[in-house]
This record gives sequence, structure tokens and C-alpha cells, in this order.
Amino acid sequence: MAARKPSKTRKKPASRNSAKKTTVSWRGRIWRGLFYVGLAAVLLFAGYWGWMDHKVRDRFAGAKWELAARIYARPLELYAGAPVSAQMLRLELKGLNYQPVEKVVRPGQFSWQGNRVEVYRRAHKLGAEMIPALPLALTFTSRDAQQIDSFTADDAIVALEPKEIGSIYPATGEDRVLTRLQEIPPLLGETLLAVEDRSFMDHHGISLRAISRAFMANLKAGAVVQGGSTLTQQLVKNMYLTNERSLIRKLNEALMTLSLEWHYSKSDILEAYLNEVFLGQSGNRAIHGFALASQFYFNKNVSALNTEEIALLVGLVKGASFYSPWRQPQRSKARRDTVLAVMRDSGLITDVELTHALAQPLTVVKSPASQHAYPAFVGLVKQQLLRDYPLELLQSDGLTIYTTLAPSVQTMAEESLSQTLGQLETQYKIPASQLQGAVVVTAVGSGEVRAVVGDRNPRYHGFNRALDTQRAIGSLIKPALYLTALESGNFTLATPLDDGPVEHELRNGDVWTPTNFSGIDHGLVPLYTALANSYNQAAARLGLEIGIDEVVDTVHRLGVEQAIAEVPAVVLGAVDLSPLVVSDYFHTLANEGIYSPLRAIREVYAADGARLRRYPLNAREAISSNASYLIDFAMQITARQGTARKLYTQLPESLSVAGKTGTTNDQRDSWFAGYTGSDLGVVWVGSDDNAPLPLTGATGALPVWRALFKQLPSESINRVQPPEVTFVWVDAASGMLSGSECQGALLLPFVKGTQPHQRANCERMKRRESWWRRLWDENN
Amino acid sequence: MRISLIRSLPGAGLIPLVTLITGCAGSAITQTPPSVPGEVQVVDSQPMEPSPPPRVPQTGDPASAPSTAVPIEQQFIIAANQAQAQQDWSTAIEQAERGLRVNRRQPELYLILAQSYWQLGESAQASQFARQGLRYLGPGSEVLQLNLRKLAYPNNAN
Repeated sequence: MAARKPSKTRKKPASRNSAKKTTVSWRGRIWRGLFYVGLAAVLLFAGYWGWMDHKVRDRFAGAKWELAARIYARPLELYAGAPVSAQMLRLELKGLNYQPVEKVVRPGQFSWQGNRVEVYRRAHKLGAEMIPALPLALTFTSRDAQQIDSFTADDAIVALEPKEIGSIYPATGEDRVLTRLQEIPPLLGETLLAVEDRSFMDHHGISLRAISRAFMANLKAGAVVQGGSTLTQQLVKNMYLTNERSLIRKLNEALMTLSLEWHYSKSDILEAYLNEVFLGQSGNRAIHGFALASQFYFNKNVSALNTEEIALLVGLVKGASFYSPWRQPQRSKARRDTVLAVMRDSGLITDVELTHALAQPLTVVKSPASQHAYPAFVGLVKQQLLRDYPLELLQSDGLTIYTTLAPSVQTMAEESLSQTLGQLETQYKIPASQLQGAVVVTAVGSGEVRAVVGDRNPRYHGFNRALDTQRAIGSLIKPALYLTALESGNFTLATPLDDGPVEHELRNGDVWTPTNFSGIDHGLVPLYTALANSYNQAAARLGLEIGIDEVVDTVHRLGVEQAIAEVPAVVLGAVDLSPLVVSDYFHTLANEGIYSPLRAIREVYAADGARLRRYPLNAREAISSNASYLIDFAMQITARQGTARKLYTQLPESLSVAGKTGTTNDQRDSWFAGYTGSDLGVVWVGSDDNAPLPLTGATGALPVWRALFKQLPSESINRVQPPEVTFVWVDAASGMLSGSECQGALLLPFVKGTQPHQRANCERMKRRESWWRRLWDENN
Repeated sequence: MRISLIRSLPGAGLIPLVTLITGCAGSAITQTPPSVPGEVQVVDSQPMEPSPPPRVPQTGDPASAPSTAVPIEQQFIIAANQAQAQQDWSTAIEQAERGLRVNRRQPELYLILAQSYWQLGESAQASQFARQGLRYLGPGSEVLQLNLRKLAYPNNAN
């Protein structure tokens, strides 16, 4: 590069100019720099605000919250003749938190005078439909009546609101019931604004007046006693931000608040606030929003809240735990009364209303309804739901699930199990708490599961024995065995079976030698006797004769889907099933041979009230009506005279029951499956460690079943006799033809043409008219 | 009134008692079931007492079942029929199922189920319900029987 020779004359001015220029350029650069920095800052800020704005709108415009799926019991239907006992109705009303009063004046109350009951049903929602509150009255003929006698209401049939029995809430633990602003009582909204943000309708998200007021109050108190946040700011803080105290969080809060106010109407913001606000805690479950809080604290719809209840809930906004009406009732009442005073000062209520409200005690429910009261049943519901819906959807889409649970039946089943197991432990000197059990109760016909108990402590959230335990079913298999024989056409209930010793060589060379429980051989016995007394040797011989595969096929037809090994021991119950699957199997027998899959869910609704799915009744003819009639009759004999005869030590003779006991090797499992005309109950009793017990099906599970059915209003078995079936007098011992006046004769049903023809000797007996026969004759 | 309804069904348990009472020696066959399954005839100074037969409800009888002008399930039959008239087969099915929860042996409700499933193209389910309904038919319901049979055995006109 060539060197330049600068001239002096040019150098000086140049130097002056240069200095001037340098100064200008330096200042300019600063200004320019500042300008660019400022511009960048503005752009950054705008970008940041834009991002915040996007965040605000993104969440606010879409689904704001994950909503829990709510699970409800079946609504109890009341009508004249409904199989609802007084005890059952009491349990249902108690479960729904109805208040007993002298005179019914408002929804949620009932009065019980003698045999007359008045109930004021609450308003409630079913899917998208709003069901209004409704007064009704009913009578029972007596305290022990098993059905409603008379019923008075606007409709001939009225259902109480279904009890909420559980929910599947989001993993965050936040639970809420979404409510529209229109569904919120105006007084609640007005009170909230009066207490939390008086200038809500006037400010643009941030209220300088509120901030200065809070500043002065805090200055005066020397501590933070008042916040200056508007409702919008509180909403932003709850919805978008954490509880962190920092400048950047404050900045975010301000930006988001302004964005929210810019984009959305006051009513949108208020509605979101009413749904968002934290109002209580129950274990891991956080109660958000006034609609859920209304149910949580008062077990009522938010639209039905009265003045003092509104005041209490609004008071909780300040601190739900601090003012908890259960843990801090005095403090809670004081806060409620403060809110009531604000309501009066704001002109929302009159002095008279204030005086009346102040005189009212806290009317919260005794304790919040547990979301985990029925873990075994809810476990079954979840199992069935998960076939159709992914868990994430159940936890977020606010589904409403109506199930088949009958809470009163559930309570009866729970108490029957826990009390009877305690008694058995004392009676048989079994170590305390060793016995465990499970109960499944099903409505015959509909296949609706009415109750599930999976543990003697029914609130225990652990292993659900009703669904998950797989235990050998012992003699519960025998109805399927004898049914197979009867269906073959080669056997009748009177066919003599050999109950002598059995020896059968297995494929591996071993010899199978099943024996009777008593160790006694009974020689030739009619088929119905072999079933009623559960003789193993007769059953084993019969099973081998008709074919193990045929028996297994029958078990499958009756509703058992799982694979069963076709080995001889199957006919004596070497099949591991859960009580629920046994219920499926026995329900087909109870339902006169029609297989209907058991159901725990009736309907599923979306959050907007649209019905997503109904679980309809399905039917498949599994066994003929003739064979079904015969096996049902034999199981009724089992209940009257066979291994289950102890049922009638406590059940009325007029109640026809069919059932079968089951006991497994070394008495490790005790089973009883029995049904009436309307209900099926399956009970398993045993020990979790599979230890031998001094119990049989008749002494372990049967007493549980009996204790339950003693209380349960249930219809007697009263089957329609198929046209192809006829009744014939046969000799009980030999199964040969007999007559009604022959000693030892009994009536047995036969498919026409299969009745015995060979006549037994008839030893005539003297007849004596019994009192009821005389009575019957007189009345007819 | 469920109990009385079931009693009113044919062969549903009351008539047999009369036969038991008037049981005739030498006539081996009877069409009627005993009141107590497995009850054996015995010569005894204290003969076995079977359970008292259920009494026919009398008007004004405090022990009688309540009296309603129309059986409660009839409401569901009417509602289901109305739905069928509007070709709302799903509602008809729903109403019939509600009726069956009250009285599971009401054949008309099975006919509604069968007809509705048939209309929905589910002929197998229709046939099953029709066959179930046939099990609960009583005498004097020939038309109902005919309708059920048509759906139960669609390939067999007879």
C-alpha cells in the first residue's frame, strides 16, 4: 500500500473537522445505539408480550382444564311395588346425605313417620337433562316390608338422584365440575365480586385503586394483610403461573392479565374464575370451582345454594384450608358471617335476611363424600371402561359414567362379609383377621352387577379378590356337570348314579381315586341326590362317562371364557376362577339358560352432556329351557335338603332359592353361589396364603350369603314351566315311578317322555291335612 | 307390582299347590310342580310342613301387594311403542330394557327388543330376544306368540 503524504494546511482543518465529526459520530453512535437497543428492547418486549399473549389465548380458548371422569351409582327407582325395603331406603337416603326432618320443606330432606316416608328429591343433572326437584311420599305396610306399598308423586315412577361413587381425576389431582356462568346463582357471582374485586366491571385487569388501597392497609398493619390483585390477576396466577414471588412473575402476571382482559369479555373471565378457584382439599384431590365445592361441602347442586352457603363458599376463596368448616368451624363461621355482612353492605341481602342467615349454623355435610368408598366396584367399572377408552381420556375429558351399583345392596354385602368372617373366626378358633372373602351380587336377567366386595375391609384399596383372585371352585362346577348329563337326553333327575369308589387311570399312569367329603360310599343314588349332597364319586364317574370335554364345553357355554384343561379333576372343580367369573357362570343358570354378559356400566356421557355410549342388554340362549328348568329344580333341592339346607335356618321358607356349595381340597376355599328369582350372590371365603381352614362351603361362604339375603328384598324363584316338562311322582330312594300317597315319593320334573316307567313298591301313607292346606282350601 | 304380576303368569307356582293338596294316588303324572322342591311324602305323626303358599292379594288386605291401576312396566311398553312408531329403535330398546328391570318376564318387552334389533339389522340378537320372550308366554297370547316366533325363527315360517 502506497504511503500518503498529508499536507499541513489540510491536516489542521481536517483535524478540527475530524474532532467535530468524531464527536458527532460518537454521540450519533450512542443515540443510534440507544435507539437500536431501545428498539430491540421494545421488539423483545413486544415479542415477549406476544408470546405471553399467545400462551394466554392458547389455553383460554381451548380446553382450559383436564376434567375428571365421574362415576355414579344407579338411581334408585321408587314406585308402588318396588322391591325396596325400609332398611334399603334408609341406607340410600343416608348415602345421598338426605337430612331427616319433622316436616319436609326443601330438597334434600326426608321425614319418616311410622310407615310413611316423605322425600323431597333434589334437582340434578342426568347427562344433558336437568331433572327438577320433586316431593314424593310412600308407605310401607310394616317395618319389615320388602316392597313399597303405595307411592304418591307427579310420576308413577320416580328415581332419586344417583350417588357419586368415585372419579378418575387427572394425574395433577385437580378436580372440578365445569359450570356455565348461567348455571351459577346471580347472588354467588355478586357476592364474589363484592368480596374479592368490587371494581371488576370497571378495570382493565389491573386496579391501581385496589393496589394503593392494599398498600395503605399493609403499611398501616406493618405486614401484608391485603392483596391488591384483581379477580383477573388471581385467575392468571392460578391458571398460568406458580406461587413464586419474583419480579419476572409479577411482570408476566401483569402482561397476561392485560392480554386476558383485551381478548375476553368480563363474563368469560368470571366464568373461568368460578371454575378455577381452589376451594378445598381431600387427600390428593384438590377441589376447584364452586360447582364441585358445592357438592363437596353441601352435597347439592350449585344452583340450589342458599345465602349462608354462598357466603361460606365465597369466604373460602381467601384460604380454603385456613377456613375449613370441618377443621376450623369457628373460624369458618366467622369468615362466613363477615361475607354475609359484606353482602348486606353491598345491598345484596336485606337486614332481615342477614339476621336470619347469621342465625344459621354451618350446614356442611358431616364429612365429604369419599371418592374411594367402593374400590372393588369402581375397579370393575375401570376394567370395563378401559376396554373402550384410554386412561388419558378418562382422566381429562370430563366423562360422566352411570353404573349399576346399588349402594344399599353394597352396604349390606360389605357388612354381611365383615361381620360373618369375624363370627366364623371366633366360632372356629381361626386367628383374627386370617379369613378373607369376596362377594358379587348381580341382578338376575339384566346381568347388572349390584355390589362387589373385594376385601373384608371394603374401603381397602388393595388386592380385589372379587375380580383378581383365581381360586379352585370345587363343587360349584357340578351344576355344569349334571346339566351336561341332562342335556344329553340319557339322564333324568331320577337316573340312579353309582356313588361307589372310583379308580381311573390317567394318561401318565397315575390312578385318580376321588372320594366323598364324608368318606362314605352311598351306592346307587338318584342324580338329583348326588347333586344336592355333592357326592364326588358319583360326579367323577358321571363326568368320565359323559366326557370331560363335554363338561368343559358346557362351562364355556355358561359364560366362562378362560381356557380350562380337560382333565378328569375338572368335574370336581379343579378350575381356578374369580368370584366375578363364577357370577357370569351362575347368572346363566339363574337366568334360565340365557347368557347375558355381566355389566357394571349403563351409560357414558361426554362433558357437554352428549351420550357417547350405552351398554345394552345382550342375550344368547346357552342352554335349553327344559334342561335349565331341571337343573334349577335340582339346585332348589340342594338349598332345601342338600348341602345348602342351612340357608333355611334364617331365611323364610316362602323364599325359593337355588344354590350350590363348593369346598376345595383341604378346605382351602369355601364357596357358595345361590340365587333367588331376582338376585344372584356369589361368595368366596378363604385365606390369602391358601392355608387349609376348618370351613366348608356350607359353613364358611353360605353364612355370608345367608346374612346378606336375609336383608335383601328379593323375589322368590318362580319359573315358568316349559310346555315339554311334566311333573311325576317318583320314589325318592330308587327314582322309580311312584304316587302322591306313597311314602317316600316326591315330585320331580321330567322332559316329557323321559319319566321312569318302572313302578316302585308303594307303601300308602295316611294323609293329614295341614293347617295351611285347610287355609288354602278355605280361601279358594 | 312385580310379585303379583309374576304370580299371574301361567304355570307360575300357585296351581301346583292345589295338586299337592289333592294329590291322587295311582296317577303318576301331574303337570304341576310342587311347592317345595324335593319335599318327600312321609308318614309321620308330625308331617313335614311345606311352606305356606303365597296368598292371592285381597283388596284391603294389609299384607297384600300394593295395587296400581296399570303395572309399572306398562309405562315402558307404551313409551317403547311410541318410540317404535317414530322408528326410534334405540329409544325403544332402552325403554324395553328399563321395563325388564321391573319385570324381567314380560314377553311384550322381549318382542319390542326383538323387533327393534331386527329393524337395526341385528337379526341374531333379535332372534335371541324373541326366543327368550317365548319362554315367558302364557296361554291366550297367540298373537304375541306368533310375532315372537316369526322373529325367533325367521327362516321357519311355521
